[in-house]
Amino acid sequence: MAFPIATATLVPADFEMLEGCRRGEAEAFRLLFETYKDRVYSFALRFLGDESRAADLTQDVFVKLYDRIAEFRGDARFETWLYRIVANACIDDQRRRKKWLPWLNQEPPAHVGRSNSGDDRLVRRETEGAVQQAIGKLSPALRAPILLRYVEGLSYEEIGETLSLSPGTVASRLSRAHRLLARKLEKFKGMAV
Amino acid sequence: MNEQDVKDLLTRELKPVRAPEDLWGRIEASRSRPAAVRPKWRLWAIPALALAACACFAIYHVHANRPTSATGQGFVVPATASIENAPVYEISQARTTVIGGEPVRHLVFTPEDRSEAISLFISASKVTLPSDGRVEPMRTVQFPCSKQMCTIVCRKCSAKVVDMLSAQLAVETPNYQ
Repeated sequence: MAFPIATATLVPADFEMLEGCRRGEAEAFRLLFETYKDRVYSFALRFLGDESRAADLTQDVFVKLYDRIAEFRGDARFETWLYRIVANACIDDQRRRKKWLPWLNQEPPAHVGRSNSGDDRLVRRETEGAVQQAIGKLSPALRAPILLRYVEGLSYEEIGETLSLSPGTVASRLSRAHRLLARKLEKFKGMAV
Repeated sequence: MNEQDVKDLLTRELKPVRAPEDLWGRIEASRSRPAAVRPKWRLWAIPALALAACACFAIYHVHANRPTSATGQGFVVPATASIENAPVYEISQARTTVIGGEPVRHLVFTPEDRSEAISLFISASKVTLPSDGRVEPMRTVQFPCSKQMCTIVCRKCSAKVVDMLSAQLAVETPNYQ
């Protein structure tokens, strides 16, 4: 067997795409990029809180992915493997920049699909900025599970697999993060509907 | 705000974001460039430099304190300061005794005006000035040898003694060889 990817965890389209990537087909890699770019970028943006850094990191992740795609053996879901690379890259990036810039003075990242009403948009941006700020103040150990849960929509098991944690640890970290965020976002009580 | 409120808020606010349009172009451009030489030296350069510095210091330290001789006789501690203006003493008495299994040379130096004698106990590792109880590590005493004549200068009190018997000293105290 030339490419021992476990097909049980992949839908056929993913399987074909990954096989193509492993063979070095540019079109397959382009498809892979189009499939996952928003998810990778979203995670990086939420984790790092800076659009240009998130774009740089997304670029680095895909270049790394292109070089290392042959290492993916299919033992885990591809998404899990990908998110592990992304999470590690984000943590490394933050570690390199020892001075963690608080989110205080940063513009919230631009979103798509927002209301066009001026007031509503303002309130939205304020809420979003506060949420970003609160998440930015979490430690990486708490921030990563929160983002994997709410940005990427992973289950506890998948988060555990991505971050090499047990589901119990994931649950406890999420619960701790929720408590901390509840304290920081107290003034937005009633807006979460 | 309870946990459910937070969950709702996060679910609402943390929606996926669209990646910049030019990302693919950037990726293609970076892939088409020859692989940059990663500065891997950074990983080991700092520890290597630190290790090299430690090694240099250790070599210097061992070298500076070794009981050896510039002339093949006696021992030398590198001279580091001028001794020109220090008062001169001459040996008036010299004998070797064994203290704690170690041969110790006892030298009594008398100044030219004979006002104040200095008694030195010199072992392989230190010079003792019993007159005031000071014990000086050997490296703090300058002891440059020149042929058969050595000069000892105490760095603290600047007393300078001229050892006319350095050859004899070396013979009588084998540790100094």
